[in-house]
This record gives sequence, C-alpha cells and structure tokens, in this order.
Amino acid sequence: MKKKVLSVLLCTAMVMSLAVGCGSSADEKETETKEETAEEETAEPVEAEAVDQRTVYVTPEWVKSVIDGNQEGYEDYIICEVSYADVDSSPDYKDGHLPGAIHVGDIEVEDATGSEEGAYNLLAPEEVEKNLLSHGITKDTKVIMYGQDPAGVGRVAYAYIWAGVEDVKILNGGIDAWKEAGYDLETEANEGEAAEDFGTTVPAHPEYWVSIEDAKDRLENDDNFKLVSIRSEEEWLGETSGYNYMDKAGEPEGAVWGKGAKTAFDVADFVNEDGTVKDLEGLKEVWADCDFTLDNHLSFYCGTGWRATVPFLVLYENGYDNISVYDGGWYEWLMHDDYPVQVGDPASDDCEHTTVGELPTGKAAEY
Amino acid sequence: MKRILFVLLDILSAAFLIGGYVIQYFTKNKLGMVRWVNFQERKTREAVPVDILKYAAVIVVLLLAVIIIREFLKKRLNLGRLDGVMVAVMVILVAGYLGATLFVTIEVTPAYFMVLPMIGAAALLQVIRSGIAVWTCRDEK
Repeated sequence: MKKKVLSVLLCTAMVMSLAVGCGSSADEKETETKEETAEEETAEPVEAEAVDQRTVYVTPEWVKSVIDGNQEGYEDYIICEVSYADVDSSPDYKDGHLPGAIHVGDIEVEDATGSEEGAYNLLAPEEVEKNLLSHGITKDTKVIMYGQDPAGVGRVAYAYIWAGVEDVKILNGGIDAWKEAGYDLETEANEGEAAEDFGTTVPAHPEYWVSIEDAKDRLENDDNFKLVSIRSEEEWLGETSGYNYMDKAGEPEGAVWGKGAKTAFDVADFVNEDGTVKDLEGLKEVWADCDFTLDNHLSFYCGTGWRATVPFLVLYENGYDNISVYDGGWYEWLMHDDYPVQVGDPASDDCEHTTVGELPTGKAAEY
Repeated sequence: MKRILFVLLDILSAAFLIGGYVIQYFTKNKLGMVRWVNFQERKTREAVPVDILKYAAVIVVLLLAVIIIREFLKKRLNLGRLDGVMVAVMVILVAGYLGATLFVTIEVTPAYFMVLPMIGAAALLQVIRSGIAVWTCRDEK
C-alpha cells in the first residue's frame, strides 16, 4: 500500500514538474509588494556638492541628496538596481534596495543567446529603446544605478550612454557604500511608469560602439587606434580563455594590454580596497607601463564587453571622447577562423602570431 | 520485484524532470550558466544533427505510447486502478514532451536543448513502466 501511495505521489510530482519546467516564472508571477521595512527616514536632509552632467561615479551622500530633493535639476530621476536577469532572480533587490529603486537587468541591453548575430553584444537599438521606455527612462531622465558587480553595472550604464541618456550616474561602491554611510533601504518593489518618446534617435552615440569589422579594420589601418584588452594576465598571455564557454585563448593581433582584472569576473585593478572604482589618477597608475597613451583612440574590450566598460566610463566622466568599446570582445573574435591572433606578450620574442582557426582548443577555464 | 522496478523508474523520471527544472531556472537567471549552456548547445549542434534527432526521438516515444495505450485498452479489465493512473501520467508526460518539441523554442527556454532530452527521458521511462505493467498483466479472460 505504501509503495502505491509513493508511486502516486511521485507521479504527481512529475506532472507538476513538467507543468512548470518550461515555464517562465518571471512571466507568471507578479512581483509581490512587500511591506516597507526601512526605518524612518533620516531626519536631516543630506546636501552634497553638485557634480557635472558627465560625472558617472558618485558618492552615497550625493545620491542621498538627490533623494532628499537637494540637487537642483535632479527632480526627474530614476534609481536602478542592476543585476543580470530579472527582478525575480535578484534576491539582493528583494532583501533591500535604495528607496524608490527599480530593478534593471543586463539582459535588457545585451544579447543573451551568444548566437553569431547576437554574440552577447548590445541589443538592437529599438529593443534597448523599448526597454528604456518601459521603465520611463528618456534621454532627459537622470538615471542613478548601482549593483554588486562594477562591470555588470558599467555594462548597463555604458549602454544607456550609447543609447542617448544624457545623465547617467553610478553609486560608487554600490549598496555596501550606501549602508556604510548609514542610509536606509526599503524592500518594497518599485516599477517605473512607462514613457512613450525617448526624445532622440537610439543610439545617440554610435561612436562609442565598435563592431568587430571596425576593430579589425582600424587595427590594420589606423596607427592612433589602440585596441585595449581589459583582461587578466593569464588571458592576455593566452594561457586560458578565462571562460568555460570559450575553448581557445589569445588576443586579437595588435591589441595592447590595459590590465584591470585578476580573473574574467572582476575588475580588481580598477577598484579600491573599499570597493569603489578608482578615479582617472588611479587608472593612470595602473596603466603607467602600458603601451598606449590617453591621446590614442582607446577602444576597450574584454571577453564579452562587461569589464571593458569600467575604464570607458572613467574616461568618459573625465571628458574624453576618443574612447569606445569593442563590444564583441574575444568571444566574437573567436567566431572568425581567418582573423589574426597573437598568443603571448607581443613585446617578447616568443609571441605566436596565427589565426583563430589555427589556435588549439582546450583553453577553456575550469570553475 | 516489479514494484521495486516501478518505484525506481518513477524516481528516475522525477529526477529528470526536477533536474530539467533546475537547469532551466539557473540558465534563465545566472550569467555563467546561460553562457555555458549556449556553448554546450553550439558544440552539440556541430557534432550531431540536433533538429533531426529531436523529432526522431519524440516520434519513437509517441509510437511506443500509442502501442501501450492500445494494449492497455485491450487489457484494462484485468489491470488495476493504479495502472490506469500510471498510463494517464504517461500520456500527460508524452503529450508534454510532444508539446515541448513542437512548440517551445530556445528563445522562450534558453536551456531548451538540455531540458528537452530530460523531459524525453522522463516520458520514455514512464512508457517503459507502463509497458511493463501492461505486458506482464495476465489475461484472465
């Protein structure tokens, strides 16, 4: 009898699993609105010095001053917590976020399929625009964002700037810096009010995005163009691809190393001990012995365009316009068997020059 | 002995379905997982004709299920209520497998080519289970 009952229970579990197995939990579930648990707002409104429109990395005090209404011109603002997927897969957002913050996913600005057409690059302009408008973000909206991963937040900030949002800020140090400053969080889920007109053609700044064809062409024909690898030393030297989904290692031939990372998943060299992103002086120290200057056109790249956005944003906020991101990175380069590759330090004698098709496999990272 | 085998097949089927759900969940939500799954899918596509195989597999399972249903209807008077429930579960799983094969796409379900074989395996195990139940049933007429 017990076995019969067990069999029926197992069958019921199987049918239930089948019913939900292919479903999309995000589509099916509405975001639950939770009770706000934040403590009472800080009594004293915070004031902070104004910053330039192009300033990207801002302090918790500055963000708090915006929330408190003490930043002139920042009445129409949206705060976004950024993580990879949707709000249902973001426990951090549910646990507590900045007051009024909505959730934004990296998948709203970039391809998630990795296909030859998509290659984890930015989505088509009309898709990015649609996603921006769904949050009520137009070119004039002041957007303040933060997240656990400086590269993940940087990716969305870069995409918004590329699209045409004129004032994009990142809370430097993320939510940890916010909490460290003693400011409150809330757990109530928020959604932006959709807008209809973005206000300009997307992308407003196509010059910040470099295609693989452009990257290859300019490497060959433009002496001032520097394709700057923001990858770890092991990736730069071709010891590993850095990723478990790329099985060949190396760099586009002619690329220069811009350091920045210890692994494929950090920007450790660009981050201070307290988790904040370094300023331009900090990056200059990192780049002291690198094979490029800030007078070159610097096109940053990495594996798929996340880490590369951090130095882009630091230079952007310091007024540099001779910058871009080669979005496809090593991932898209690998899709072209005839593309030239260097393996090893190009300054050394044992640097191997070959093509993608000739590279050995078995260089995927294991983690 | 037969009941132990049935329970084992049920556990395996449940494990496949739960495993498929877990893979789909993490593929949808985790950057590293979705990219690894995409990579595995591309490698598999290069190695085997995935689209032909997926239709061939579902046709085989469907044919087996139809045969078993026919046999079940012939012997239904000699079979217990539990056997009827098991055949019904088999029908639901096979129908789900067929639906997933025909109507679900990789755009909707990023881990499609990992989850689909798992649903197929669960359906096949239930087909085997129902087949054993039906064919080992004594004809008392």
